[in-house]
Amino acid sequence: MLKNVKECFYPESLEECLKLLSDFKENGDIVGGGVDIVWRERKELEYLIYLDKLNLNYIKEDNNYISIGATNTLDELEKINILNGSFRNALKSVATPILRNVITIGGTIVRGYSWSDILTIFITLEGKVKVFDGEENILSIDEFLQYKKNSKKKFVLTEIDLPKFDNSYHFSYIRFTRTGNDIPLINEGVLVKLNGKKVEKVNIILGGRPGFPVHLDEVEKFLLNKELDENVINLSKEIATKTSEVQDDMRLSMDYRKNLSGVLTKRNLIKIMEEI
Amino acid sequence: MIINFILNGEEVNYDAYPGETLFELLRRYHHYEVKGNNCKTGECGACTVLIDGKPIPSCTLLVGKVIGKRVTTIKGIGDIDNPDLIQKSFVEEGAIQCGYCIPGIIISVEGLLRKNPNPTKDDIKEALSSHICRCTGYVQQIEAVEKAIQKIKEGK
Ligand SMILES: Cc1cc2nc3c(=O)[nH]c(=O)nc-3n(C[C@H](O)[C@H](O)[C@H](O)COP(=O)(O)OP(=O)(O)OC[C@H]3O[C@@H](n4cnc5c(N)ncnc54)[C@H](O)[C@@H]3O)c2cc1C
Ligand code: FES
Ligand code: FES
Repeated sequence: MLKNVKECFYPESLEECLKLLSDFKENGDIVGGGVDIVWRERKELEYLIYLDKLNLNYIKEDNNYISIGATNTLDELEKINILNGSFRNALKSVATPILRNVITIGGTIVRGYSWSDILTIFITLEGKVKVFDGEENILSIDEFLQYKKNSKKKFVLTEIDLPKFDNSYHFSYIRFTRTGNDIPLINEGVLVKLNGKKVEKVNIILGGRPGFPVHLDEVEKFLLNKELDENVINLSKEIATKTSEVQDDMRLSMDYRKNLSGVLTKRNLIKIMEEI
Repeated sequence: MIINFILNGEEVNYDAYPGETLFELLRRYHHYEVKGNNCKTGECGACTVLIDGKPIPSCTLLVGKVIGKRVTTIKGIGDIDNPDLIQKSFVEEGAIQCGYCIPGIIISVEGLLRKNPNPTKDDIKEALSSHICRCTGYVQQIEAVEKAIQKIKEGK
């Protein structure tokens, strides 16, 4: 129970939503799925602003992008059939089915836990977000995380856009957890674009380090113009283990995370090699 | 705040606290409608209800999100006098021990079968993965779901 909440609002335009956010300052906040809002029980919250009348629950596509409205729940995204089903499989590894039926994509990105599966998946896939703060801004997820940290403006995240991938792209995502339903101790997404058999472009994103997700630059550089074979994959694993920037926290030691970053890199690349 | 929704097929209006969850509201008005008061974070699945046909943990759902929706609790599926086929199969297969987790599981299975009447074993396991059962080993529960699917197909 959020004991101090006095009133709920259902704005019908983004402008109205921003005005409410500005008027209520720290005493008001947006509800996406509300899972995090309920869980955190913030004492200062007096006004809840629901996005349900803003029509942000669409999924549409044009030639270049798949556009996902911010209030779509994660289970709705499972309908997006791209990258040979590996996008759907990645989503299915997040939380549990009943939670995916309520957690929104917008709420997950705005909350932005550094271990979030969704951040790692969408950074790997070069997703962009649309943010309305009086005007519309289109930002990469990294830029959005900076914007959220530095900007004093109130905002509504309205849409997430994924590029459309042709069949030269391959994706794999792995999360390491203590139990199937636990939050990740570390996670990694890999997107590879092949030209013939050679790697033309690659994103390897490590999240839950425990800091925010980052590229494994050295592995990415190493893989360019190489063919994926056992030797290349083993060398990638070694480079990942040596160069990944990870830290200790109460859940995992730095050494263990370092080893895991190599193992996840190897497993992701093997999954991709097997798919080719 | 007054909220209205459809509870187990009947239109209802409740005077709700704007900061309460559906779980808390249902417990205040009908303390028997949902099981739980357990983890209150969506992790254990005990308090699951169907919202417009989708299983959702009611402890994570603010009442403001329920307005105008169709809510189905375990009482809307069946009761001791009129159990539905899923409930009957759970009893017959010995899939229940203390019973604490069962209403939530039955709701998830109902949600699964509405979406996909022919689930694979993996689909069933995935649906049950939302739920923590401290007593059983889940095996009989999977078998109970398979039996329920068979019964539904045979119209029993
Ligand atoms: C039991 C449990 C298990 C979880 N497991 C996982 C997991 O495995 N992997 C994972 O990645 N995450 C996991 N999460 C985290 C979950 O993804 C986040 O808590 C997420 O924020 C919930 O989404 P929501 O839509 O309910 O957010 P909300 O609670 O609605 O919102 C979160 C924050 O974002 C703001 N907000 C919401 N939508 C918008 C918007 N469109 N524009 C601007 N601001 C907005 C809200 O004001 C709030 O501050 C788990 C959470 C729980 C409770
Ligand atoms: S009490 Fe709601 S999921 Fe555990
Ligand atoms: S039967 Fe006791 S918790 Fe499941």
